[in-house]
Amino acid sequence: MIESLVRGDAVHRAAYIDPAMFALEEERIFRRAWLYAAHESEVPNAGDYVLTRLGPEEVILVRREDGGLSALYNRCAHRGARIVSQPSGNARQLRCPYHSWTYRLDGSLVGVPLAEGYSDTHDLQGLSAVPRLESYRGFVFASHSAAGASLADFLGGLKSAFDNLVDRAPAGTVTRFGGSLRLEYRGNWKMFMENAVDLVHPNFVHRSSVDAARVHPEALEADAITQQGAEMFLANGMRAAQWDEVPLHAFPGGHVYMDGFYRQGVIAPERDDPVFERYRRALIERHGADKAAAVLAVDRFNNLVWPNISVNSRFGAMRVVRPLAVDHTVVDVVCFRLDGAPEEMHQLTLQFVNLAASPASLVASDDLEIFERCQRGLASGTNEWINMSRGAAGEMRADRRQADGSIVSGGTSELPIRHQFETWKTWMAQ
Amino acid sequence: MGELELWHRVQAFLFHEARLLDERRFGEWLELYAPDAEYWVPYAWEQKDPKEHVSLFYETVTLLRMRVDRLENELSPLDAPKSRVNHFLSNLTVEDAGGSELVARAYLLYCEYRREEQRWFAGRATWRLRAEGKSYRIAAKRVDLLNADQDSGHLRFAIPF
Repeated sequence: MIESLVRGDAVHRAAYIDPAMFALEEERIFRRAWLYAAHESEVPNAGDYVLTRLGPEEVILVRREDGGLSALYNRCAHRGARIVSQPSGNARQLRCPYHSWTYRLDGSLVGVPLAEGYSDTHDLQGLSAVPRLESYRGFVFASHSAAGASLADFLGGLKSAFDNLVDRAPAGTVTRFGGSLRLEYRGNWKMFMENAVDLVHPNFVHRSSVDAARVHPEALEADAITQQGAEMFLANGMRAAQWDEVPLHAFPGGHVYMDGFYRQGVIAPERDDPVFERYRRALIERHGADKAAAVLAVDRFNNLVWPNISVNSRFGAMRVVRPLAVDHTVVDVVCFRLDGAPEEMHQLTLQFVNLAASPASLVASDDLEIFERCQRGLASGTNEWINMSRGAAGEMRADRRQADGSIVSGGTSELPIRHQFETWKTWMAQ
Repeated sequence: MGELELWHRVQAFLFHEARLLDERRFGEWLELYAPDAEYWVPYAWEQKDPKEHVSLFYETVTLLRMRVDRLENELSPLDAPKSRVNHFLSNLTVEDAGGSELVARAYLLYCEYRREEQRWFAGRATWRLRAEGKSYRIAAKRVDLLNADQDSGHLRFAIPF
């Protein structure tokens, strides 16, 4: 049944619009896969907690006194009230505001007022814990399923995205900073993940900001923020032949990354300004010249960890896609500081997010509008099938299978969409 | 100049700014800004610093120019159909900020209609104004939305605050 929704070059519109399909995605993908919860640096001390959303569940990630982490469902074992309502904080114990049931940081029950009145006081429960919790280089993931591949195996070929981000830090660690932005759209969650590596759309969807930047060449000589904005907007205006020179890499497990395409000025991968030189020296001190050069040479834009993360290692930014309903999605955008790097480097990260990822930015706002138009358009049943055939056959097809198991295609191929749906089909079918 | 006259003059200036935005007279709108002006819409309540935290937007006049040129080139999906906007200002106060500068504060209501939907945003606006002849130039504008934090998200709009 599910298999019949995905053909090699087309997918049935039910995958985007059918609430029953979304319920099945929650059960078979979001209750099984490793989902990003938070970064270790958000909960450095005992009692520190953050609220996060793992698929359909709200979860408290909390640092225990023994230094370990617990991921607890945010639901009192008694009447079901939400225990924590602040996005983050510090607590010695977790206490329900309703009848004051109180829990330790590992979720076990400390005490219950008027305990003798309950029918079986020996059987009163603590908070339920998410079955699996693992960190990869400081990035904390959890899974609602007790069984399944290890986190490292799940991340597979895209462990490299986290490796490169952390390796870029002269002190060897990264720290969350700068708060977070939230995008929201009335459309299916998969659209965000597909669009993030769709290299045909920028020249059309982002044309208004490309053209606006083209008529202001003076911006390229202005202050750092203006320059960064102009360079970022202009880069989206590459010709199709240039986009095709930005390879896409698809890895087993549904993961995909695209190479970088920011080449000019302040957004170039390597620069010779004094700040970058200081940074490079600090990195060489940590890694030695060869490894430092190799780390800086990794120039990728979006690294997509299936099902719902996009990491930009070079700019220290990450987007976590959180599906709320078949036609309702939020995306949290977060930033990481490279510990040990010059402070000025972090301005690039903040401005990257402000200029392209903020819901009010000249870039993301147009993408979100397009997702909503797709969602509304797909309500039409005039054609049950959605085309994803570009680059699947014919003259364009030049996919290359690599020794590491990845497949590489030209930038304008829809290989990533087909690849994501192959993985989707596998998880959804069983 | 008396206090009342000053207050009235600043109010007329700010009403003029609002009208230019509402009537999409973006070129004239940007002429109200000093070339080194800073335009900031924080993304956290009581945000201290645009360089420590992400912002909804934090832009120079040149970036603002691109923002409005993008609407005038009519290529943005976000602005098709075109948004209609009213800026409402109230609770205005004016303080002397030393030199030839003033600080004006007002409550802002922003009503937007587009694509079968009417939306309201409420916030507090702060302007740093430089006296210039009988009028002013905006040296900085900051708008703190009541819902400027991660719980909202639906903060997409074509026309600036």
